[in-house]
Amino acid sequence: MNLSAKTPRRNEAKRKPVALHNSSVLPATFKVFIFLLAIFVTVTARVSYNQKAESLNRESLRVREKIHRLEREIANLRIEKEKLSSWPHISDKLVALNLPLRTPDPQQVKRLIMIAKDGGIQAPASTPARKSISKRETSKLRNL
Amino acid sequence: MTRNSDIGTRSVVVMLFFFLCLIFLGVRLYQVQINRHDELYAKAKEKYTAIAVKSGSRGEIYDSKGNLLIGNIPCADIVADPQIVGDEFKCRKIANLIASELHLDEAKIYERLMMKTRIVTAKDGSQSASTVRYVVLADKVDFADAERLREEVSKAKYKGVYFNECTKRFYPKNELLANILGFTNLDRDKVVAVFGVEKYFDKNISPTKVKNLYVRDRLGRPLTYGDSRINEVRDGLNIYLTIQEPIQAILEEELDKLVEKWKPRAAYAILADPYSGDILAVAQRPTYNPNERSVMNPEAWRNRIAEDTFDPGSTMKPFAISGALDYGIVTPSTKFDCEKGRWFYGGKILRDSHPLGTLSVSEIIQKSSNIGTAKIALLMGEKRLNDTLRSFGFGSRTGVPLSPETSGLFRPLEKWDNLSITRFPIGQGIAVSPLQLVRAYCVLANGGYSLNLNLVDRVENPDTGEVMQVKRGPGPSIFKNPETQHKIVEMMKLVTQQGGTAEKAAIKGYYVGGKTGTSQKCLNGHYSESQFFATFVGFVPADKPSFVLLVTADEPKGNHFGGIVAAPAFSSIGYRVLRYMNVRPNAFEEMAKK
Repeated sequence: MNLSAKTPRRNEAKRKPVALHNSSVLPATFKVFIFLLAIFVTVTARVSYNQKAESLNRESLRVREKIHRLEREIANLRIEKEKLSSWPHISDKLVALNLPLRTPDPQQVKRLIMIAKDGGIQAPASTPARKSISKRETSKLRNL
Repeated sequence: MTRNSDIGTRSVVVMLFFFLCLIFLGVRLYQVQINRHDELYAKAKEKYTAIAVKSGSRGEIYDSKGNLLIGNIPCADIVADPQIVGDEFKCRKIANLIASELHLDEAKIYERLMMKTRIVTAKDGSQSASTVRYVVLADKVDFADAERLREEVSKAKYKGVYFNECTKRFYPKNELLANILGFTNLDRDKVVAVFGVEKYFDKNISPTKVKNLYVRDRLGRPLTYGDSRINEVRDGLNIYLTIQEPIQAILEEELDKLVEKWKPRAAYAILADPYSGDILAVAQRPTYNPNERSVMNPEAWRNRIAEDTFDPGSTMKPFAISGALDYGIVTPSTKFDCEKGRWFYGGKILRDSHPLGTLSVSEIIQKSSNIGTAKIALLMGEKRLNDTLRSFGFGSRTGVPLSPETSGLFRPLEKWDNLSITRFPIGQGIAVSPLQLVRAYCVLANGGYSLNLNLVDRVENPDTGEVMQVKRGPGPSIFKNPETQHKIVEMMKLVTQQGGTAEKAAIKGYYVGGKTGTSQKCLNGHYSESQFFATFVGFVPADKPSFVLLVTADEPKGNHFGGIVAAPAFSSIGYRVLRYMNVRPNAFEEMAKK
């Protein structure tokens, strides 16, 4: 009996490696790569843009918050100013600090306002500007 | 040894498993994205969408020069989330900090912070525990205090304590013009105007409230993208009154002096421009401080100048006499017998305060003779008298934006009795509001041109800066004879001169035209013998008036004559206001003419 220990070869053709056609795979891979890269770039750009926008938004919110707080502070100070400048408050302080208001003494008056005939207020006439005069004019003046 | 068939089977099983997983994921995706889309989208939207209620500022009120009379002061409500605040120790610490900074009861704050759950009773009576996420620790805390406390809280890194920004109505001038300005109350979060200018212009000065919808991040900050609806709020309109704060301060100060001296039940003063009808100052006593609500008395904040009426007494005489002059019935020198102070007419006696003999019309005004005035009115006749008094505005409202405003009590002609013609011209049986009397004197002072009083100068839209000026100006002349006004003013000048009833109303350097009024109060249909209104109303400088001023004391103690009680206050107010207005003295003008 002729026996042989040999694994029978089944389908030799199947075991043969399939020949790769480099010329067709590489461009396809490259195309996919380019496509994926485009998606990646787009998404990254979008995310980056969104992040930038949000960062600016947060910054603007911070500034707005600051402005709002300053506005509230100004409103508070304005009310405080109005309170302090009101006559009841001033008169109370005058009494408390014993500082009665009175009309000024004549020698204390530094500026007088001329009242025009039509009721309007005239500013006091300003001192005329000095001008140099000629010798001839000086002699005329001396002769007067 | 593994056989190839086994490997193949396993591969198939794995692939099948992954395929089933894929199918499952696909089904799940379909369920989540398609079937439950609306439900889940709504849930997500609810989580990331915030609603913020925003309200503009209530309009502010200023005087004509832009001095703030009512404003909004920033403040804060301090609230907490008891679930976040922490344990007993933390609550104790926070309560201690807030109580010591704001001078509040520590135990109360601690109690609120520790209120982690609340028993809620349902409609069917069943009770259940509900977690508490919001408690108010202090409301309307002043801006400076709130800011200081905010820093302390952030420094100590306490969590769950929040500062909600808000504003409250503030009256920086306290009592100044309080009865006219009115005030607002808070009904929960709603501002309710109670009376005065605040109430009259409530619709105009109320801001709009909007709900803003936006997509937020984890910290609650609005994101730039997403479905958002942002509406702009509109602030309320700012009102500029015709009031001038310095004049108002003078008026209030002098009225206080009158009250201190004569201790009346009430007193009021009104100062108005006779040409435009602008009310430049108006004050009344008693008054109140709108910033101190706990001690406020309704009797003090009632607006007497628009709501109350009084018998004007002798202050009515110039109107009846000006009518008689205008109709040509009398001249300033026409003589009347004043019956030595007692005269029977229509079955009733009419008295003068002093016995007077024969007087000219000028002297009747100067000495304030009731009998003389009644006799002039009889010569005029009822219709002419009625027409004259109505042309001065008696019986009709003044147009001032204050509600309620009385139209006074002036019977229609058909309801006059036989005594009306002798009583109305001397200010009895007729009731007028202080505003009506001032308006009538404005007409006398401005040459006889009818007008309405104004309290509002302009309205400003703070959002756009647009300003709307209130139209005003004198109407047609009520006098047919242009000389009438001059004649009556000349007579009224005598009142404040030697021999007149109000020498104390005189102002050095100026001619004052005016009239005293001492009227008995009408109580239960009878004139009281002990309760009076003491009034002086006039204008200065008489020939070209800068203002009309009314001063009235209701039930003064010690004396009740207008010439004694009200006239000195008129003089001192007038003197200070003339100086403030920079009005030239008449003496100066006469010298200039010479």
